[in-house]
Amino acid sequence: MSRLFGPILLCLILSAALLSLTWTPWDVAAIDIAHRFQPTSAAHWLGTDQLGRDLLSMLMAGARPSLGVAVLALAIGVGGGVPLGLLAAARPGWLDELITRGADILLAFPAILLALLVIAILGPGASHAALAIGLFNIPVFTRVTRASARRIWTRDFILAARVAGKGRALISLEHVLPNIAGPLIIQASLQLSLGVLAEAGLSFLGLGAQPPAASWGRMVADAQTLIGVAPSLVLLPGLFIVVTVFAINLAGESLRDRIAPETGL
Amino acid sequence: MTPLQIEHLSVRYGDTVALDDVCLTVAAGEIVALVGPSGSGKSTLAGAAMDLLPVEAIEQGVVRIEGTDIRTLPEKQLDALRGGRVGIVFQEPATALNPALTIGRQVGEVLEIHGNLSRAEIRAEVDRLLAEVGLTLSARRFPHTLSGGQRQRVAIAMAIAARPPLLLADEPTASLDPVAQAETAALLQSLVRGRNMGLLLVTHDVALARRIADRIVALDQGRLSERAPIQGPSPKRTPQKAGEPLLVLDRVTRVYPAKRGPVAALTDISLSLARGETLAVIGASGSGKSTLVRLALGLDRPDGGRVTFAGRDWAGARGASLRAMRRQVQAVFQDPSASFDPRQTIERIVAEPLHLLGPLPAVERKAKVAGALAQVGMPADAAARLPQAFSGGQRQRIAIARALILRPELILFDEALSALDPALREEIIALLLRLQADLGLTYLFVAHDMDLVRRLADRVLVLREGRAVACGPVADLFDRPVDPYLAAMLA
Repeated sequence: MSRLFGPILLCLILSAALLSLTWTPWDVAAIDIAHRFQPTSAAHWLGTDQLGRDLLSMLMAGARPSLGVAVLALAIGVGGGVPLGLLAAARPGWLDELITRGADILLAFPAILLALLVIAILGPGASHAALAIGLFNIPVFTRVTRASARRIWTRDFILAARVAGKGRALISLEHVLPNIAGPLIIQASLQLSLGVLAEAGLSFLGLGAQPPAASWGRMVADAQTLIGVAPSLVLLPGLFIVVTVFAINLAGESLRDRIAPETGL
Repeated sequence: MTPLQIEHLSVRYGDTVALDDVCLTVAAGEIVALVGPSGSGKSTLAGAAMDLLPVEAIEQGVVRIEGTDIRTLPEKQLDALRGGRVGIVFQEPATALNPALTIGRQVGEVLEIHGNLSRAEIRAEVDRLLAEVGLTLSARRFPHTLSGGQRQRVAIAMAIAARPPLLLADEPTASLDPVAQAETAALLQSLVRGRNMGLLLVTHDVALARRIADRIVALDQGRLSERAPIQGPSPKRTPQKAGEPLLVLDRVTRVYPAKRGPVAALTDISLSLARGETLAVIGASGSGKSTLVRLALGLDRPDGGRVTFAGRDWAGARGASLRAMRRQVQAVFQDPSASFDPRQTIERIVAEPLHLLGPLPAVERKAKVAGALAQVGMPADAAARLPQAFSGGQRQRIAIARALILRPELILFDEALSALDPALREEIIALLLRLQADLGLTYLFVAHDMDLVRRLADRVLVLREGRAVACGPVADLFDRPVDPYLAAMLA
């Protein structure tokens, strides 16, 4: 498969999400019971849902919480996990032990249950969902960063940098981080697609983005009883979730091949 | 029947001629050493004997194993040939063995594929083979529990298991320490004699070739010359009058904590290295050489004793005084492919020690890098490229440039020349001697090449299991080795 396929697919989904900020074919919040369950037509390209809302508009706008929450959660994970992992690798001993065990303990919790707990405390909403998902990205990145960084720390060029008087922080930034970019990019693409899935799951349970904002997960939830009547109401948002996850994984691989080809996994 | 006959073999890859009309015969019971610099076609010739070359690369010529032209054989019989009629021993026993299988399984596997023995017979044969290669340990051991020399013996047992008439050994001793090197060479020699095999020994270690081979053939740019390679006029160091002590280790002990109790890496080591002097530290792997280097560089602290540089203790140095000390001591490491950050340009790599001078204007930094590169004979335009663009010898020059850029007093070489082939090594030795004469540098070599030590060093420290077993001027120690351990290495 072409290495551009993934990035192009992801760009299409992203631009649909961005476009929906300013324009959608129909108003997403506009309920029109008279025109519900409309089939595909010139006015409604993908038909309308059980409340008469335009399905295409819903799908475009629904990409926003999906990607937004996943990206925010990824940023929390990278921002918290990578520095911790670098620190653990640079400081073998009690600090490494503390960070690694902490990450292990967090990973041992059932993620979904703890995410539910976080939302139960903070209340439902897209930003709280991002926080709950992001919290679980932190130990994942801590572990990947630490494991990859420790391999780099054994190399002779690190010794050369120490002979040049560079401190551990500087070496971590200048030598270690660029050399672990490959595994980090792969992990980031995995966590991003897991984030999309997790957001869809939380929305499905009604804990993600709240109405009237559209969300793929809630579209599936709202239409699940209608699968016999109007299967496209369930299948299309589901398909968008799958395609998005697929596109993110492909794009991550292409990016890895481009900027860090030697660390192929 | 003749184990290996190569007749008028020419191989080319695209426009590059790898082998040019090469004729080579290895008789039964004969050891033929194939020497030559990197890129001379050694690997191609070895590959030809296994029929591992792409068909379109072979222009002309015949390769016969026991009289059979192997290029006429169908693929099935070729599989039987590789490992069955031709045994191979690779350079790196650590990667040639499967870490997940016991050594007995791996030797037995060869017997399973190339023979029809019952399970009990295979077990007995495995034990017999391990004994034949001089291993007295259980066949149930895993490779990681063995030393490098023992692993290479297992690899040799695998290579000879199917009783091949021809053995190919590709740098079989290059990754071993001196004691294991000597033992492995002796083992190969006795196996060839005992089993009446032919051995094609691919190596760039001329000393090894001289020691065990019946004939030495040299390859140079794909052409064969049937004679021992002539050694160029080898530059030798002119001894200098030693100045005041620069690096002093005073009763140094370093103990590492380990699961099975503390391990003493160095015990009660004292040495004094004077300004302008060259000291070599030799010893088998695990003898504490690397620990000594780290202590001398101030990257590690001793548990007992003191390490001082120019009268100042590494342990007490902080901040500006530590930076001042670091400016005086630089290092060149063993593996030129691992000692550079693959993501940085040569300019950034060579400029790295300038960090110790604080921020510098870009112009000045560039000028210093260009100066250091010129000193080691590298073109200035190398600065913009990545380390992957350079050969092993060039990389080691770059590593020396990095060590020189601050004009240090002392440079440590941690087996810095062992990965180079002899021609390149000569170049680097000449370069180091010139730099020492020009700049009045002090060198500390960690080495396991005795020839190199003899030519470069004034004094030698011999380490064994973290203790100094001998220390003194090179001439005294090498000509009359009192210590049996040193004598074994020199053998």
